[in-house]
Amino acid sequence: MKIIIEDIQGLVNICSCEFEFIYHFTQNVKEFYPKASEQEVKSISLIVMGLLLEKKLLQVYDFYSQELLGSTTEDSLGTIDNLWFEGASYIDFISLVNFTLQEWFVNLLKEKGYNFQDNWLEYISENLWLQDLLRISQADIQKVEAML
Amino acid sequence: MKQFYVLNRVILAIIFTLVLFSCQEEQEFITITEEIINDDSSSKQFKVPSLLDVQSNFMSEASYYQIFTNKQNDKSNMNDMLGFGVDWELSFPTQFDSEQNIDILYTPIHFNSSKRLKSFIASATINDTLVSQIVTLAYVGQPSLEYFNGYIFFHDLTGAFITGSYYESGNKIKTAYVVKTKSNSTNKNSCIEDQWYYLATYGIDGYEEFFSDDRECLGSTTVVAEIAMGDGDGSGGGSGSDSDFPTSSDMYIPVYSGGGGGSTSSDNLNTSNSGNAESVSTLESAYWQETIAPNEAMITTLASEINLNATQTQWLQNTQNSTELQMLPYQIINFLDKNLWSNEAKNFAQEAIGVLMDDSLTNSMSSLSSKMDYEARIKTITNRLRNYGDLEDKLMADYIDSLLPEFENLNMGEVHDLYKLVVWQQKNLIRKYFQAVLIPIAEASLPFIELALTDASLGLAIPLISRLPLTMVLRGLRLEKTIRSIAKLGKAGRAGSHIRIIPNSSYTKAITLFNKLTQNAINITRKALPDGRVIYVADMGEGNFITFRNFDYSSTVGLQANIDLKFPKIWSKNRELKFVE
Repeated sequence: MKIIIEDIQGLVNICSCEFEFIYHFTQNVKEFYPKASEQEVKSISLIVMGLLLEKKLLQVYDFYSQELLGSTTEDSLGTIDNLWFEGASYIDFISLVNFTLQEWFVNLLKEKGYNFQDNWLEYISENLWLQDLLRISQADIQKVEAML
Repeated sequence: MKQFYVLNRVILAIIFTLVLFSCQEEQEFITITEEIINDDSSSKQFKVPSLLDVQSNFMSEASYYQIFTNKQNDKSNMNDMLGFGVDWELSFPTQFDSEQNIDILYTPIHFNSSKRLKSFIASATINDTLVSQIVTLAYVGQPSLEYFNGYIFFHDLTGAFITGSYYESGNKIKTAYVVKTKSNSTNKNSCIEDQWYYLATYGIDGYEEFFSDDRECLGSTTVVAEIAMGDGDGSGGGSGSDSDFPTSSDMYIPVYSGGGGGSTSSDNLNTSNSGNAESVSTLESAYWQETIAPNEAMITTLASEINLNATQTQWLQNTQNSTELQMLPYQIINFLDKNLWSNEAKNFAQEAIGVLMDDSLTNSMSSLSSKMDYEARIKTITNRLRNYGDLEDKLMADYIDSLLPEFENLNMGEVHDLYKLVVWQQKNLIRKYFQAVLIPIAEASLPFIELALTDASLGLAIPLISRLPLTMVLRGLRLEKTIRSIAKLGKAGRAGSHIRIIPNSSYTKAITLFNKLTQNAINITRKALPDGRVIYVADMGEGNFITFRNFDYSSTVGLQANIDLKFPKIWSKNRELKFVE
């Protein structure tokens, strides 16, 4: 399946707001790629996770121990990939890993005046600084793909 | 019976209009009809003509021009009562048939006195020839805010009939059209009027029966085509005698808010050909209310029939100034029709009007002196719902009554708030009852759930939620209805409307709601983690899950608990209710 950078950018934008569990990524990927197979949904979800981890906007934890998973993006993605077994669904995803926003990003949003209530995509469209922060390139995607 | 009064008035209005349309020279009728028959619509080139050209063409077509300029020519005296005219200044180009990409110039014709008729001139330049036709919607039967019931006629500018179709509940039932003409036949206006009379009085069936071959009135044969399910064409195998402006696909009729100085809007009547039968349905707008509003005399008669006093009668008249209530008199008449104008039905109508006109359900609604008074008032309401409502209303009444024993634990303010809500909901249900709309308990109870989750104290909130009837949460369609309603609570979250933020709430309210929603779960997995996180997952069958958690990783401010609704048959994305302080 051919992935388009505009789609991945859209997924990065929405998943920087909606990211708590793996299913948050997969359901958004399915909206962009409704015909994607389970494996393709997983691959694209891992790319989006990787991009957000690489930008240090998100961090990922083991759900039970709440310990950080991986010291690098590559480690984190590898761990998620291993935990994410074939056929895993919503009921499994809610007890595998969870993501949170990095504290610096939360503080920056507060400093910039975001109230954590307004529509996120509209807020992005109105704030160039945030668009710059979230912008990805083909090279970014290739870099994450190489980690998988 | 007052319904006959109303029906007569409607029929008279339709007959009058149709008679007007029928004043034409036979030769013109024949020529234009044949031209239409011989047209191959697929090769037509449609353009929107200029208004000046359309006006000029209209004036040159003597029949119609005379109708609108010389009322003395008309045999009927009713034109003065009806009053009509062409609103040239409100003309505008608009899409007429989206499938065939046909645009027309739309010119509304207003009828001042009859709101059950709506006409417009549809004009297009077809292969360099300007063609204008009159499209008329004649509303019959039960007024509906959702569907079109009645006839759609096409006439040319001379008044010659081209095609007519009958619709019930938005579906095209039958259509009639001219399939052959005889240039040597004799024509009499009375014959034409007979046609219209039968068409309007007995419908297209009667029209066909009366004007069988031996009559040869007008020298034409009109074929009645029944629209078979699956016959999307709707022409019944007709010979291409449809109008110049195809009606078999999307026909777009802009709303006319007319009556001189009115304005147009983007609302429209859409005839769509989706599904099996050709259908006409409306968008959610006030379109029908404007078109078929009852008149003063009809309301006065209705008021007399159901023994309203002067104040009640005036209130009913005033409904015509309210977009929200304008349809009420018609709805009451339909309700009474269905109940054969029985004394019981009339009494209910009178009682219901008393309830609906009670303006006391405002924030300033005066308090009653004791909880017993509130209880008595509420019991009156629930008895009314039981007596006149449907099964869903009875469930609602039982639910409300089940809250009464809690009054002793509530303060007067809470009892008053609950009473206000019951009165408000009673009005909604009565109005819906007149509209013959069944309100599922899942929907009717939503305001009570909302009160419980946001404003009520725990003392009121817990019974409000926990006493919701079990039937609301039985797995399957009942639960899905309830879930759909619940997913409307609160306001949209920052990720979109699938996230619902429910303010002024608490952990206890959320877990109470979870327990109620999952009362019929197949199983519930409960996980309490050492760090205090709690997560419950209820399997509701068919891949549906309801999840409760007391934590959140999305930085939602003030989050107390989270309920995730995973119902893949309803939504591709989970709905999440986030209960915040």
